Amino acid sequence: MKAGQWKPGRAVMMLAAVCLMIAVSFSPAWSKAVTATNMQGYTSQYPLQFELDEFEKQCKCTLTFKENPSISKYNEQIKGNPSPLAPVKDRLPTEPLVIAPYGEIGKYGGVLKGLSKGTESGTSDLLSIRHVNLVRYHDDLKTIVPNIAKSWKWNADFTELVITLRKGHKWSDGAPFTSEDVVFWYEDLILNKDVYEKTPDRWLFAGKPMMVTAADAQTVVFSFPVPTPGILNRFAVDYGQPFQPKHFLKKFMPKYNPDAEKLAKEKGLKNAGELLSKYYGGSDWKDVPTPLLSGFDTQVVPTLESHIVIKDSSTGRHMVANPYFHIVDTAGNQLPYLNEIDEAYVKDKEVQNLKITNGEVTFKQQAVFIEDFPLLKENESKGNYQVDLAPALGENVFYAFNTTVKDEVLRGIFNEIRFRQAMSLALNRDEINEIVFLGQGKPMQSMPAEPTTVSFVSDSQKNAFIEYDVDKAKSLIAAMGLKDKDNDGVLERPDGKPFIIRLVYSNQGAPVKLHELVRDYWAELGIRVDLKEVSSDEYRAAANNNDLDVTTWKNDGVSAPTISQDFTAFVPPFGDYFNPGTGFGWAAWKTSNGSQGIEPPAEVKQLYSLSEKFIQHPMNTAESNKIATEILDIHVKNLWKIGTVGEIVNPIVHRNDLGNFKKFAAKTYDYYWTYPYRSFQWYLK
Amino acid sequence: MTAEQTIDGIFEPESEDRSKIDKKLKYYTASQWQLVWWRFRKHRVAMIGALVLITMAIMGIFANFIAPCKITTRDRSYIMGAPQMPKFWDHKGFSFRPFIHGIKTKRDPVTLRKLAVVDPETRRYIRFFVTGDKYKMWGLIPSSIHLYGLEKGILHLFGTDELGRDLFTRTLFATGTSLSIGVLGVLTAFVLALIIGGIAGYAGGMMDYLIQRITEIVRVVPVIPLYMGLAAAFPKEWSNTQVYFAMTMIFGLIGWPTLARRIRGHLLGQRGEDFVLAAELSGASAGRIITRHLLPSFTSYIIVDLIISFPYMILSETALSFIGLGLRPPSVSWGILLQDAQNIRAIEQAPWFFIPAIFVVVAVLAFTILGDGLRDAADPYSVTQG
Amino acid sequence: MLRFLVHRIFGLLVTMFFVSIMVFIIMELPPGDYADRYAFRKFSGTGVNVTQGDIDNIRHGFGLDRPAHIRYAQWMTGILTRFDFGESFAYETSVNHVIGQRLWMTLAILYTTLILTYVLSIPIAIYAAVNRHSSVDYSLTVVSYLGLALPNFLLALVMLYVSVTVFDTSVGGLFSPEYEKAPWSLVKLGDMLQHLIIPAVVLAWSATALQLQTVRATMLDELNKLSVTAARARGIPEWKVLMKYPARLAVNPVVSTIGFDVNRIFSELPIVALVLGLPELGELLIQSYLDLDMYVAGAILMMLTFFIVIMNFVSDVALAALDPRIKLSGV
Repeated sequence: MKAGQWKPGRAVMMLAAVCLMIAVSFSPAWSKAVTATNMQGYTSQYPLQFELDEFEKQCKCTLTFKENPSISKYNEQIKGNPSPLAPVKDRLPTEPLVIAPYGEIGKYGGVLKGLSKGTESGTSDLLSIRHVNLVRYHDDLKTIVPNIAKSWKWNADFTELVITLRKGHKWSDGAPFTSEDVVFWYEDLILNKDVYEKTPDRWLFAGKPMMVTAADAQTVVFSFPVPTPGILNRFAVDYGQPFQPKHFLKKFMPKYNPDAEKLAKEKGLKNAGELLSKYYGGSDWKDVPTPLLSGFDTQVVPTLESHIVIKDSSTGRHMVANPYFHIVDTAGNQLPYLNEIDEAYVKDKEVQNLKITNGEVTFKQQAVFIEDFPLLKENESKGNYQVDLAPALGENVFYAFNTTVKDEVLRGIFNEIRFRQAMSLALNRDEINEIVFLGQGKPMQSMPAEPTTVSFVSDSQKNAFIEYDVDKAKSLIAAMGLKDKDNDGVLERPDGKPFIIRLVYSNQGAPVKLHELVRDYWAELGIRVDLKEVSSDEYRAAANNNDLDVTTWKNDGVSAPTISQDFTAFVPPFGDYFNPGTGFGWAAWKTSNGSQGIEPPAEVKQLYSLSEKFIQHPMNTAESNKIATEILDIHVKNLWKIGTVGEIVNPIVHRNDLGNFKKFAAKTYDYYWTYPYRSFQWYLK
Repeated sequence: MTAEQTIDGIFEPESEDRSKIDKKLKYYTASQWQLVWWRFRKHRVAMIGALVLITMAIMGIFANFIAPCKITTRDRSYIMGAPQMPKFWDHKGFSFRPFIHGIKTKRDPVTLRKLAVVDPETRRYIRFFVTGDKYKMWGLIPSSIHLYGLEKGILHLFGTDELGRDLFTRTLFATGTSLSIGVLGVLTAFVLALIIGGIAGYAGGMMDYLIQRITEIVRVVPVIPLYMGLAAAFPKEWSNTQVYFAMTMIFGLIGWPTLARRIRGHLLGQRGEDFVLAAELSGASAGRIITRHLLPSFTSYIIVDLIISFPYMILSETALSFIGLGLRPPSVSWGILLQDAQNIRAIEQAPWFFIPAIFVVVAVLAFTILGDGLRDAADPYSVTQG
Repeated sequence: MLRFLVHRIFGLLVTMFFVSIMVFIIMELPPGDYADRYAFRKFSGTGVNVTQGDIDNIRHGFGLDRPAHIRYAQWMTGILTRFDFGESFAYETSVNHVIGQRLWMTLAILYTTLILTYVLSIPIAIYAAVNRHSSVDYSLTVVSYLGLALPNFLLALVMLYVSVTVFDTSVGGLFSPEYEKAPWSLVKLGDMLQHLIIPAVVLAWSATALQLQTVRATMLDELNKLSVTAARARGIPEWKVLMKYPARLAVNPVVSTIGFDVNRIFSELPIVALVLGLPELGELLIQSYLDLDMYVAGAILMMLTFFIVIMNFVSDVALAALDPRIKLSGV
């Protein structure tokens, strides 16, 4: 308000404010609720959420808890749950998390209808809606906020992280959740050779395990052999939850239950290991088949998530609200508002499009691509939904020539930097952007770090060799001595055979049109590219087997939270098994300590040591940025992954009756899709 | 042709006795093929079918010349553009030389869809026998003459696809590919059927029983997995040409049982005839009897069967391409083009992607009608009975 | 008759044996196996570097390292003695369980299509044959062939689009969302039939074209027979004449090819199901085959081919029982 305005107006305003404050402080029950749009002067340590005492101190009240009126009905459907239900205040932790909804206090009810492709395919979209972890990224994608954990504390050199859990927190079957469940997850599952024959590398630190100890029922101490400042980021964005219900799973382990083997035999299984794997399927992914799918059991592993699976079939899954969920809104209502989540498997993209335009899908973002944006936008009012575009962080489609390909002549060519430069210069990225990405992206080189999420990427790195210069590309190729001797339009390799590259791709990795364009661009240089489309599984198996000439996919796992704790993108094969890049022989050499594979050049060896150092410094510090710049320089110089278009956007669809929906700052797996946007406070209007 | 037709009905009604006798004489001395042709000529619908197929074949064979550009040429100024109709007049008046208006594309700011904006002030005239993209006719004769072209840019009679490639050009080449796959597939099936059906039908007995069982086995296995299995077994290194020939082989391998059954049936029927016995007695070999005496007696039936099996080959090709196991770009076939039409986007925003489907439907109908016509023409009862 | 039956049963067993080998060969055709898929699927995201040794271990665990003939023998033994089709690698449960859920849906689609085909083709064919070369005959032929000529996947998508946009039905699947989890009732059955219309029409359309031509051709042959002329001469009403001989005989080839009709419909079913998102076996067959989940694919193929062989056998025996001429003409 500017000075010198009409005084009475100001006086009225002041009076109103005072009244409001009085109202808030004396009668919270009938005051307007605290929401993101109107925080009513409430302040909190973390944005839009409070610890109970933090909230109650400000409202000077005791929050009374309310529950979903139909929650006992859903409790009946969760097999193994005690019935009747205890009152809501006994189901909530004594220290529940209090959140301010985005728009308003929601109303209970409704089914969120979503789509996946199959039991373990395209599921993380919906998984992320019910997901919980120790911590979470706020919707600004910068601040880490508590979730399962009440608070955390680092020691000075980032080798010890103390996590405090919530008192009285309970699993979805009502059993207490304590620090024992965290220790159990690491000691008895991750490090258990019967479960993981090899300990997953991601839970080893500089090759050594961490120590997870329970100081008391609510205090867990993670001790690392090396500084690991990024681990909190992992807890904030990771699909895997570092806790498992000990009380439930220990029944199947001989270590805890002497009758476990007998139980396994009774169920017709070979041993207790097999019995355990029926419930914990050798992976922290929450979409592994439940015992419901095979009809082995009617009970599933208890969870801390907002919803729990009650039906699992080959056509879909069905989830209902968890009666013990640990979050309440500022009016004291236990979340989630949504009664049920229905997940139907739809493999065909066109059926998916029709379902969306017909208004049969409440929310969908994974596997909705920009090419369908015009169609979805034009049908918005018909299907009563809204489709928005959000940045797809790091999703730059790359082409990586296999530097350790089995064909030795090709390997010789692919290992020349000049060749990779030429192939990059031959791409008309403006045209790619226009045709494939509807003009919404920006030509950019492939980066092992998403530029908008980190502070160390320079423009010259982003723009290295991205100009469209066929002549220069041709001269680079000619300088390598590759010529078209028989004048058939295709160059000859040094051994006289025609220069043919097989480009095997999956339609999940990148738009198919893009590969056709790239084939045309490279044909300009006299290189024949044979395209072959395969399924994603086949592509991945072939790539990881070192059977491909070129790998192509869109980058992922390159945003700040991931690279701060996981340097997979920095070192061969420059990606994980889902999305590998190149240098498989180098990777094999490294993992076998030099006994297998192909010895990498010095620069690659340097990458390993730089990367290990990088994750021991907190991100965005001077030391961290200095190391990162070195790593990036090596990448840009070598062009192992030739990038196309960066800063692209992708569609997110939600129905207009989905309340408390906040537009996404980014559509990316790197922050675990919807997890930052608090899907537990969505409701159906 | 109606069942009531008599022998005379075949001829044009003529009053003069002399010429009638001549014609009758001509009829009785005519070869089997002449008779078939005369009868076929009367079958107007079948004639149309034949003409359609011949036109399509010509389109495929001379695709390089008829098409205004190459199959990979991208028109960046007209992406996902609708078919363009040549005009003879506009608000500025009449023109003998057909033309189209200039076009610019812009993006809708909300839906991000590319829209074509016609500029009615500019005319682009169509010229014939113009110089354009270089090509080699049938891989041999280098040329750059195209049947038609614009003074500037490309005329898109069927519109363009999502990469701005001319759909008319692609349809022409696809027609050639798909028809030739059909021809080669049918031929392969025919050769196999001839050998297997021939042996079964002529040898009879145990051999016949065994072959019958094998035929039955091939017939009960669903074709799609069989296609998929064989197509998946193609080595990855194969070029498109190799895949093309392998596909025709597969269609042949799967198509033979029906034909073989027919041939066997015919042979079994004719084996007991006197002329076969006569040939056997005079010491003719089995192979000679089959090829010289037995087969010619029902060649017309075989041709009909061959023609009728064409549509299945063509449809199999589209199905295989749909699962992604058929030909691969840059080759084009009807199946590959229809894959582009297989989405809601095409139905709502680019219905011209379905033009190749019209070609498939027309070709399949033409083959069927032609087959029907030939069957009637080849059937001697169709005239004598009444 | 007994001799004929014994002969046919022996033939049936021989065919089944060869068919099982054929199915196994189809299962073996694609290069590679599920072991490396499984390895990468299981280890993905864990950071473990999969080595060839790991993959070999998994292969051994699945028993995929044994020679093909031994795997065939074991698989067949399981099927014959325990009706056990093995384990699904992808679903990590028994094949029987995976298939069981979809078997009834598949049969529902197959039979709906078959019934629709016969209900449409036989009367139309008889009508067309009687009114040969009329404009009705030609237009019926063209319409029926249109179903054959339109690629099924395109037809399915367009029909789905039309039904959703014009008739406002729910998209794909076999049930509307509100009936998906409901117990069986008449209303649910009605809802399912409504969803069966598109696949059944798409599949039946092309099948009708073939049936129509066969029945029409046989009818034409029979109509030219002297018995018909004689019957007509005796002044028997035309429809009685038709029903008495030609129509009855014209249905014979339909009965005798019922097994092959099932095969033809099933061959086209996967593609239609893929487009329409139907939870049935054809779609599962394609998916599991592409994923190399071979025992699932094999089980579906085996069940289907046996089903067809048995249908053929039954129709042969039925025809022989009805028409004594056939058994004389041998197998």
